[in-house]
Amino acid sequence: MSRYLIVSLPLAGHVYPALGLARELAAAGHDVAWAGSELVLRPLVGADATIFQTGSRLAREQGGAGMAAIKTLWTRFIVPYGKFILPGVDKAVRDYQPDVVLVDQHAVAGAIVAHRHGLPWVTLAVSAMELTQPYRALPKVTDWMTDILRTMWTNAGLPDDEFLDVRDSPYLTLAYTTEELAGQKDFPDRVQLVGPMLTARPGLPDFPFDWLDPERQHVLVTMGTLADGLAYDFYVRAIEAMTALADRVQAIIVAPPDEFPTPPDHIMITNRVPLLRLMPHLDVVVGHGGINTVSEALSTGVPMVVAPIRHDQPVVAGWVADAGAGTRVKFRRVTPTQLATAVTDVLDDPSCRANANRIAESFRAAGGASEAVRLLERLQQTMSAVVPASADALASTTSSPPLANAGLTGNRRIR
Amino acid sequence: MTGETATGGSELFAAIAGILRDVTGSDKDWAARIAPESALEGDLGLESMELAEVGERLSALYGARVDLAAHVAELDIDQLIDLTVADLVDYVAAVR
Repeated sequence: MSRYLIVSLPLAGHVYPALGLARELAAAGHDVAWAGSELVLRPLVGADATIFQTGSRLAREQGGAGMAAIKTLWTRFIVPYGKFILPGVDKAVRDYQPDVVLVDQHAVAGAIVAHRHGLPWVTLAVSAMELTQPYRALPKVTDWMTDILRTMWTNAGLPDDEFLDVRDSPYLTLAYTTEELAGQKDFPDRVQLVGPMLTARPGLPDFPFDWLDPERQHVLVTMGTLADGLAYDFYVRAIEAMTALADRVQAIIVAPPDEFPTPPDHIMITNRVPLLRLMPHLDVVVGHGGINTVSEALSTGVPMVVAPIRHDQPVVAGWVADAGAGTRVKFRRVTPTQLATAVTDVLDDPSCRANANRIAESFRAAGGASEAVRLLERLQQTMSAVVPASADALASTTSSPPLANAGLTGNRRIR
Repeated sequence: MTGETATGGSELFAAIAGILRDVTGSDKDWAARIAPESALEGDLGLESMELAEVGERLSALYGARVDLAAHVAELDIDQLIDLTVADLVDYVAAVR
């Protein structure tokens, strides 16, 4: 049995996939605890979970799109949140004494604290933001991000020459996708693509499944939980697009019902749906390219129309389109007619569903949470085989997973 | 507005505004609101894929020396956020 401390972000879309891993670790007999905001985590991870409180700092709504949204994400969220939780995460590590720290790719404090205490840490690449290096064509942008991480590292009192990029643990990165979806095969060995970790979410409402007319095809439109006022205009166009398809589809649109009080009979507007249960009834999902919704759709073989808003969503939209599992439309500009055409094109093209099923099969083959647990246990065995020797010794005695980064020299276990 | 002569600059501006309209699939009214100081991302809502398409159109029109992707690769994040139509005009005028 090992002890795993999870340092995630105060966002449901990051916590739920980590929860899938946490449940599998617990089922395998390991001990799991969370470091974060009790206020945010408790409703998501359940009453029984162990939470080491780091305090609450509200995640501000992320505005804008494009590079402005990227800058806001880093300067107003990743950096201040990392600084804020750092003392709490440090205390959690001292109190809980984990064997391994599992760190969300953007929860910088987790990696800093793990390194400070000589503990191995594993990157959880929940989002697609960093995995395929979408900004590699913009060297000054990638340098800017690395400089931010380096400053956080040295400000926390860690030596500059030991700097490690939190987005890419030298021990192991668990990426919640597959080569078939990401369309890239040249990942280093330390990056393991285990597929999504889908897990039942507590507190979701039931769905009136008898509303679904078996004679029609079914479209779900969902633009995520963090989309701000921008999404309102999209929903207006989506309703118009779905209205035009009244003769062949029923549409479920996840949006505030108060704002759209009188939809046509074949359109249901609802705040929340039990996505995983609904998915087998769907023929296409229109979404913003949030990796969780995309994973849930594709794992059920449901093709997509993706209208990315910002952050990693354009990357994910590209994955879906390139894999042939759907199409990509422009979130801001797509007209109701174009959206209706995109939906019917996907509905009428059997290759979209075939490719979605191919990706679903790749998810199953990748193993998900159970494969992640196997990899973590293997890392643990590799680590304990050489403790208390230095990481240098580890690097020379094993190639799996490789510890290539020279920055690990001098990294010692203190317990 | 640009380093070009008034005529050369405004011709180039009109051509680039036309490309922006095509690439975004927008109408005449939208195109009429494009100003030299319009920020591509913030004001015109240009997505990265659209910017790439603008670059291809510019190369096709003004020759391979106009390599917008290479130009953009030199910019830092604030320059990318603040990139305007006038910046495109200036860049094309300087290298074509």
